[in-house]
Amino acid sequence: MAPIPVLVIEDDPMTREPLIDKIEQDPGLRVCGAAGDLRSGRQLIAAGEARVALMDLGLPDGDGTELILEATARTPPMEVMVITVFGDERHVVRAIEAGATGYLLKDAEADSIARSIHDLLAGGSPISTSIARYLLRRFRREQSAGAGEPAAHLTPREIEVLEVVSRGYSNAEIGRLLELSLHTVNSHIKNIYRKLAVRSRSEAVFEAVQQGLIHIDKGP
Amino acid sequence: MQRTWFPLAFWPGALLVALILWYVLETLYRLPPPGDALQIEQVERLVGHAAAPAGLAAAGWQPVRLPEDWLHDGIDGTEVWYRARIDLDVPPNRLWAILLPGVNLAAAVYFNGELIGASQHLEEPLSQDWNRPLLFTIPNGHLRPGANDLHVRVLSYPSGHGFMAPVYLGPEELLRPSFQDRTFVQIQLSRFITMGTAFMSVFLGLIWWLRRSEAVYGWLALSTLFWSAHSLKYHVSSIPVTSFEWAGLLFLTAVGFSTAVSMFMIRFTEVRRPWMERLLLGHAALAIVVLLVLTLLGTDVMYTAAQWFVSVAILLAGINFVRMAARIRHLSETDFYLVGAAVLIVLVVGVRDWVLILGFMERSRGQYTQYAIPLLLGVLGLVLVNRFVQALRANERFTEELTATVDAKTRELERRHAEIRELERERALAEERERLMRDMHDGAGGHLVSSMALLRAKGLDDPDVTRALREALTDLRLMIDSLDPVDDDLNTVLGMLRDRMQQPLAASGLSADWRLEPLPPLRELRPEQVLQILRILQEALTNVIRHAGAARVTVTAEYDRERNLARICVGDDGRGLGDGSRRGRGLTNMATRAERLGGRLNLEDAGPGTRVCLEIPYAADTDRA
Repeated sequence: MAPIPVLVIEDDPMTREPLIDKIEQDPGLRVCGAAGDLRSGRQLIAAGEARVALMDLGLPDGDGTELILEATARTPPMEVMVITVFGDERHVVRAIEAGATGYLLKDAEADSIARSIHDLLAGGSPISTSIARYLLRRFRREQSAGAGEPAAHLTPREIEVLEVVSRGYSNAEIGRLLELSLHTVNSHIKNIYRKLAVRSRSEAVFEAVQQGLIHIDKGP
Repeated sequence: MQRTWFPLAFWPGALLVALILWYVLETLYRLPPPGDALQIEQVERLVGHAAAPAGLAAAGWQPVRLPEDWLHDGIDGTEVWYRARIDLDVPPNRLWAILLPGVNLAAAVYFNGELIGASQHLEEPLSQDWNRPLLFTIPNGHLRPGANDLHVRVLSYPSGHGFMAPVYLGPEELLRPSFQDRTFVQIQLSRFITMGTAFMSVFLGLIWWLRRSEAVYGWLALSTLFWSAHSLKYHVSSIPVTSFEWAGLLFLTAVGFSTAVSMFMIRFTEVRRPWMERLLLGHAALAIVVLLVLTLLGTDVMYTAAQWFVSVAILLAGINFVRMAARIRHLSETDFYLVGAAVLIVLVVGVRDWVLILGFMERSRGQYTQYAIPLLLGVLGLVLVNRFVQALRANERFTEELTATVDAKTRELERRHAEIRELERERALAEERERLMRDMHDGAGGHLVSSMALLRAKGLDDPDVTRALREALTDLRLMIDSLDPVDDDLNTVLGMLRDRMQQPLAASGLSADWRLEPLPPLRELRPEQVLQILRILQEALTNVIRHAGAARVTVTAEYDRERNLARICVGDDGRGLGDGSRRGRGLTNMATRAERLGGRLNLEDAGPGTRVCLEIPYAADTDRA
């Protein structure tokens, strides 16, 4: 099986280069391109070779979320992981809303990076207690506000998964607790991420229509 | 209340009340003649003028039987003399008197040729004594054995049509109580009623003045005012104008009263009837103009006109009463029957009086309307005042409800304000945390990551330095986590710890076993406390990684129901405490942090290995669910 092509977009070379090294250590992965800014990153995405893109949000010439949007809008879509120092929920959720389905700590060890990438392609998205709590809190706030759709049509099962994650259980433990396979737990989390992205995109379109940036052609 | 007419049972009841009133008045007016007194019915009458009996013509006297009504006997004069001869066997030794129960209008009484008493005014304006009993004592010595002559001079005005009821002669002490009773009922009671209705008129008028939109009060005030004026005829003797003019004014007040009552009844139904109102007011205006003109002209036609106007006014009042009874919707049961009964009584008595005034009944029997009208006005006033009070009560209730609503809203608002303040506090905290995070992400955090990479790239990959840098990074991450709102949930804190420690534990090759039981919420769990807990446990785990030489680490969390505390333990299967020198300072730090939390740190030799337990007590009133 050919190694999976991976794209690295990170402005700090002291982070980028070790990251590339760590990825290359895994025989199943290969770095097909690396960029340090938005412009060259965009070209690499447009080239469309990569299946996975690792991205930093804070790029010198702009916001990395733009690139995430472009990467995930492709057919077939690239899987995007955001590179973060702290894995804090605001950083990660912002990336998830743009379409990312995973995150990676900047100082992660080589094997953990490779595992994360393979997990992601197998359908598993990482989640932390903080992120789960953040999503639950937001869901409950929107629900109690009563206005509009509650957070992206999360199913009761998905909410249950988030609740258990927020109590500090690992995915395997969640599977035992809720009597789900590990695979199902992982796909629940990925679905939650996708729903957040879809909703944030429809909100963006709505916002744009409202502001007159987009005109919807009603047809003849 | 949906009602179209009085129920059948109402009519006999109300009619019975009216008849009882009639009977009572009839009895009062027909006070039995005092036992020993002489009732003089057979008299002689002469139409003509004289200043004293001595000046009367000898011829022309006609025998008549009292009571006599000039209207019926075709007498169209202003002065009539009556005479009677009384034979007394023995002259009485007591004081005697003569009682005239009913004379229209004024009278003078002569006994044996001498004036013994008279109405106050025998010239125009004449005394209005038609409703006033007259009692004159006969001075001692005027009564003589045998024949005694009684002369009564009765004065009226053109078309005034006098009348003369039977006369009583007898001991003064016998006649006086009867006279006093009649005076009380016919004069004093009547005066009292006039004052009462006048007072009521002022009261209702004030209400109307203050609430112009409520025309019913105005019309009822006008009704009572007209009635007060009209009822003067029952007890006022000395008048400021001529008898004819006085009569004209009384007819005017009668039309005014009837019209105002009709207007009241229309407005009281709360359904206007414009054409009827125009008819009523037009009729009243016409009556005022015509009667005033005819009165000033002094022509007899005034009587005929007045009788027509009053008849029409009474007829209209009857029609409006029927309409009101059929239309009324907003009266309570009691009020409805009270008003109905009072109006019915007035109608019965009023028709009776009007028939009497028109001359179809013996006029000296007296009029009853004056006693029925105040009954009606009183009832109507009561109903209106009751309605007024009800409105006030409703208003009070409304105000109370409003106040309650406002209070509730105020509390709601306060609650919301508190919520908003809380949200703002959270938001400020979140903003601060984000700012800190941004700074650390781009600054310290990024630098730490870069430094580690740099060391490795330059081959200066000293494990101790790298570990120190990594610990610094982990510590930063814990600080950031501690700023996350945890909603008093200890489980979340443990989840954070687990997230953060996963990598170091994995890197150290230790197998980690997390056995976390759900813990109850710890109130007032603030960021600094979260950080203390995270640091204590991180240090415990780091100690295991660094010093214990263990293969396995176990993290447990449990709620001790008996001691009401949370116990979080980090246990290993390593070397045990041993000399403890290298771990001493770390443990002291942890213990200090635990004390700052209000908890304590226990160190157990688990042989093999060590167990460090953090105990966090719950407040006494914590819900242990």
